[in-house]
Amino acid sequence: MTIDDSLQTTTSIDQAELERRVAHIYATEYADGDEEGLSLNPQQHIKYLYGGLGQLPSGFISLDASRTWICYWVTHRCRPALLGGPVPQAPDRDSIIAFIASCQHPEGGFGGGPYQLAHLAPTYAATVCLQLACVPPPARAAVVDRPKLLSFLLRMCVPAEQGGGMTMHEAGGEVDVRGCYCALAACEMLLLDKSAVADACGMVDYICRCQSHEGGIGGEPWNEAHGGYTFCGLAAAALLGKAHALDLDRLLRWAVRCQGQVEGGFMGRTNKLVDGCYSFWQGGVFPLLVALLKEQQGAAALEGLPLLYDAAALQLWLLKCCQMPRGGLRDKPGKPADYYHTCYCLSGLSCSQHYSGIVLGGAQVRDGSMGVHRTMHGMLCVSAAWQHAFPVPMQHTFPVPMPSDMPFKTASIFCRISWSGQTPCATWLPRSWRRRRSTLRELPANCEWCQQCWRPGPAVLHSDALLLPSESAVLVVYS
Amino acid sequence: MADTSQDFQPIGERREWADVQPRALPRTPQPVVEIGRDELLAELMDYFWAAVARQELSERVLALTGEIIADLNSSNYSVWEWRWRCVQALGGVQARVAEEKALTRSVATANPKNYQLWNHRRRLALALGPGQAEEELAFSAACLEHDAKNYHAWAHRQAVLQHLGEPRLWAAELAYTERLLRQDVRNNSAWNQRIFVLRGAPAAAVGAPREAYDREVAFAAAQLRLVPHNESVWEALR
Repeated sequence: MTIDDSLQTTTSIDQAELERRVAHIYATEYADGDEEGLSLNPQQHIKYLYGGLGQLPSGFISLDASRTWICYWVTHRCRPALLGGPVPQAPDRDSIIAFIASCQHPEGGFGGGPYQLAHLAPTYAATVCLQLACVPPPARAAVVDRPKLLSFLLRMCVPAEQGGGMTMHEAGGEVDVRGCYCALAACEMLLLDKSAVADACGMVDYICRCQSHEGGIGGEPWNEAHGGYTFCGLAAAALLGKAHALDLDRLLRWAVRCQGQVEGGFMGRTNKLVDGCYSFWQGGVFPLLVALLKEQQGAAALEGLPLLYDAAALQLWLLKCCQMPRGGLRDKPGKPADYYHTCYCLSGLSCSQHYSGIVLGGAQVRDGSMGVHRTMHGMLCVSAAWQHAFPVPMQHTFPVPMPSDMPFKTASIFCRISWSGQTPCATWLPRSWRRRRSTLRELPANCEWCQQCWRPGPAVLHSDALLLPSESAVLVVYS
Repeated sequence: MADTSQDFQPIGERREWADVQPRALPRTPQPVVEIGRDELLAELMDYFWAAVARQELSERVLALTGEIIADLNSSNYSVWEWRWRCVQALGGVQARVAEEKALTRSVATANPKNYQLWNHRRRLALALGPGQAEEELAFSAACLEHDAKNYHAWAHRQAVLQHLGEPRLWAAELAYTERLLRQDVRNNSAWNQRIFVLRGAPAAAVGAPREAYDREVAFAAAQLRLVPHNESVWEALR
């Protein structure tokens, strides 16, 4: 419990109140070691998220300049590969793509909605949405005007002699570290020149100046260390291969201290309350740091490195305190669910499962699918920086409907297409399917999403394609 | 800004907009994150987009941006940006200062965590120059009274001091953080601000580095004696 040293202030009072609430939840609803009571409820979350993809009530008007963001928060987590649900009927993929296209500004970049000025944050969100809408690269190029987008990014650069960094929109948006990440992530996903953008605004130096005395990164130089900006700054620097310019040791120590000792969740700033969304912003920092330390010191030097934070505690916080029974996830008990928190709580859960290999409540999910799908739920984050830390080809995943005569309980097969062009398509299957080679020929000819990846013919099992820490599946490559 | 003492007149019926064809949003075959329209207020956006398409910077557009910000959606960055351009075209910040101050104050009251509001206020402050510094510190202090950790408000203070601050204001900032720390010694934003002042202030403000350092360590130690388990202080000392 919080130690208040007999001097209560607003901070300690609020903290104590939250701890009481959370401790009560853990004590009454979760008996130690009882993992059966812990589960992710994917169907409810899918229903909640899909409710936001079509029509929203007029009360959402305050998010009118963030419609590309809403699209991202919903479609990112709605990827059926993550939550295992059916593909939405409406809006269909073409409508989503048409909407994103309508947000593109004639002079490059994307706005939060049609007609809006181009802005770095919706540009990032729109780029991710296009990746998730399963658009093969040539079709994606038809939507995004890449040269104009690059020129937009360069226009957003503030020259180093004027302070550096990037402004969020023309001609005088706010300048902070978010812009750096949004721009570089978009470059990464669209294969644009990141270093041209970084050089035009002295980005590495700017990010370093944003690292505060505490070790975390603030929005602007001298600002307080903050979880959201820390992820953005570290990820941007990592995308440039220049993260070692930061004081990573100090950053790590600050990030570790941001985990609530009672709650298990992360807080965004020292002496503030934990919030579900920081499960991703703060939690996502650790795998990046491990990847960077490995680069610096070699994998052997990190043998036996313990987990850098308490992953089980974080997952407990997410499953028990952030998950709403009727669907969606939230900041903390007492707050309602919203799409932003649903997106980042689930991203944080996914990150944590992958980073730690721990899947709390891993035995069964409520919808009865096999345990292996809990590990598959921890799929690769769409964050480009995450992909930098785990260097696999850029990819997306989506389900293939099961033929009805399949004798297995698994709800779906995951199909992965590599963007590297000519790679034959591949399928993840549970390890037990190795024994059933003959059945593989009976898999459906077309993937429901991309309509193009399945080719009939013998399948080859590649057991060395097990990339994920807690993987218990095999990769089937169609030759 | 909308005059709420009169009945609201839909923009389509206002004489000053009679010459403009409103520009509705493009329709997609199926609705995608489509926000339901408030019939009266949503029309404001249709006229706004028509004005932007014409590249119009005028009194009526300025008034329209104010109405949208106040009554419909204070987070639309395109509206704020267009408003700034109107202000520049209509005499500049010096000529329009009262209205801008009033608008930002009312938005801050309703939603003090709005990015666009603080960006607009910062642009305003920097355009007005050093004479504006005290009022900006007072403005952010008023916000901090309601939420002593408001990130934007603290960032605003830093920007104001860096661009507009004379040495006495820097020195006063240390005193301000002390006041807030007396209210809540665990306020990490206030501790962060102390580091900002001690490392970033002109020498005239905080004195010779060695003495400033010793004073700060003494101050921090005193706070730690009161509340040893205070993460903020240990970090500041480090």
